[in-house]
Amino acid sequence: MLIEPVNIQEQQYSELVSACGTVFNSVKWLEMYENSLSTYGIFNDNKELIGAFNYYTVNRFGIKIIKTPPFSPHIGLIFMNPAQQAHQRNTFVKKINQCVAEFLLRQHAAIYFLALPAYITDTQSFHWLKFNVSPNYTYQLNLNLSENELSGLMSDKKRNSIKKALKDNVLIEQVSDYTEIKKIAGQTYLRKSKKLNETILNAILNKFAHTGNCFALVARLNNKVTAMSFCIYDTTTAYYLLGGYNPENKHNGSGALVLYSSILHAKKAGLTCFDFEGSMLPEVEENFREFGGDLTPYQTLSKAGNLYKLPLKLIKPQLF
Amino acid sequence: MLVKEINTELLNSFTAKETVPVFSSFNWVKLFSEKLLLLGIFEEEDKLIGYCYFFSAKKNNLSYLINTPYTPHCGLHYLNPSKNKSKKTSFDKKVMTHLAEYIEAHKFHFVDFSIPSTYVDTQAFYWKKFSVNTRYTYHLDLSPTEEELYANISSEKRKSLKRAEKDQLSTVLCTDYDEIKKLVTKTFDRKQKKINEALLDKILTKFAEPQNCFAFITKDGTKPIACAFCVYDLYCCYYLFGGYDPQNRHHGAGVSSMWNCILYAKRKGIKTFDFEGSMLPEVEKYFREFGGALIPYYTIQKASLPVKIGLGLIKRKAF
Repeated sequence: MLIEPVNIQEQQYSELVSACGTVFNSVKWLEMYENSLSTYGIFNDNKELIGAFNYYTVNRFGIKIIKTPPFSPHIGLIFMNPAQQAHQRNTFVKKINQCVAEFLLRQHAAIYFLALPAYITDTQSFHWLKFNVSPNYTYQLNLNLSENELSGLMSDKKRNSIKKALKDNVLIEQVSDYTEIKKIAGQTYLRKSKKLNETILNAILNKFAHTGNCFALVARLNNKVTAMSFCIYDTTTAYYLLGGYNPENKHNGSGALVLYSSILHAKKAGLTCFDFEGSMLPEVEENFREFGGDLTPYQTLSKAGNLYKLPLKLIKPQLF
Repeated sequence: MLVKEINTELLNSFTAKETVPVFSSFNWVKLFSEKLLLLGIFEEEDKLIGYCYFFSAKKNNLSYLINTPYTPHCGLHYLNPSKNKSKKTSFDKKVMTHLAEYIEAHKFHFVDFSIPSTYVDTQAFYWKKFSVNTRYTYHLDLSPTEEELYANISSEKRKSLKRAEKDQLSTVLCTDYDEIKKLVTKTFDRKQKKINEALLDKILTKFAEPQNCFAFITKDGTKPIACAFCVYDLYCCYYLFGGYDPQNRHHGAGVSSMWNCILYAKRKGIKTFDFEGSMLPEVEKYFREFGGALIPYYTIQKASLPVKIGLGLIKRKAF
């Protein structure tokens, strides 16, 4: 097995993504990141492309950090597993992960912060190469349920918020002009004291987004935008990428309504899963939990060189 | 909700009304009289809804909280009364939050325990700055037929079984746990690992009964050369320990003991065989070849910075 840079424009890459990829492996998504993103192919002994992954590199004060690309939930590790028997499948996954882990170590980054897709549950190869492996979480809703069943999963509080918004004539509208989306996303990040990568956000809204891979809904009250939700999707899953409320024009309930409308929109589009895309902030987690999805762990990998370990132990004791 | 220390009598009265997993059973917990910290989870002041337990003591003036020996996790078990999905998840979170708060408030110098694989939500611990690490075990679904289970194991393992048969090794259900103890002790000696002999004796003599344990032993003629010992409840059979005689090695003997345990558990109507942890590469490979599914479970750790640095030097992977 071999890991080498892969040309994402080549047919073999698009065939791989069609077979087992998600929107986060799509050429359009990866092109947004320009030079900071490295995409690699996993090749079998016959030099056939059987898998791929990507990561984002930043240099901060001369320190090389390899991390999950901004706005991506994970490093897009995908592969085709040819084995039939359970133990052979497990062995194959272990082999792939070992190759990826060894390859990452050969990049000699000072610090690694990476997330794996939720469908990759085996991280032992990373553990054995001394990565710290810990779970993060997202919520996923099964859209195969009927609208009534989806509503039944929700907490009373969330249901009442939605009812209140409807009673107050909050209207939901799908938009293709993302000015309000960008503005509210900026306000939300600021409120949460989180750094927003505006270059990538602009690329998502201006280069990536089109009607075949995303939808944006806004809630309006008296013609003013009160909240928004922006989702991207692939053939099976809608990912809630951006959301928030307008602090100048708040309405208790419009955030819940616009998010629930996004869930129903995804369901009507024939998708089978709504992924809330990470819920590690307590207040965000509570908001998502109340929609009644399944708490789904995904694994994160972290590692730091000896020089950086001690300060990181102080800043992020959970990870180092 | 409230978490507070309880005694084993209260646990006994609670488990008498409930079907609980073997590692949460009263008979198992009462093996650990010394250093046992048994925590009750109360919905109201006096309504016990669940519990978990740990080994807690002081060593070199450092207080610690860890899993009890021979136990894969803290035995967390509680009743979640919620029907609605969102409420159910919120209830789980509330339990974990109260446990995290209790452990944090008691300021142990060193915390390292696992939670059962059925509980996936560890966010409350993460938010209290505990480190949560992913570990694994293999679970083998026992619903397929014996032929299907056999077809699912690796060709290497099948060869080992055939070799054992060809060499006329006999694998039998064993009720003489002295023989088990001898082989297990030899294995610990070989690995230069310390064995808690008093507790091993308690498991084999006080806990073990046909309704919660069984063991298979493989013999070459009359000589015992390998064994596997399992505990079980209604749903799951756990491989607890095993061993072989290094002076009479046969590469099919251990496999044969384990395979017979799997078949015996299936015949008892148990749904799952749990290999009980597989984090050492050579052990993991051995278990993987039986064709089970890799199942993550989580360990919760916290240590003060100096302890962490010290432990980091000794046990780098864990800290």
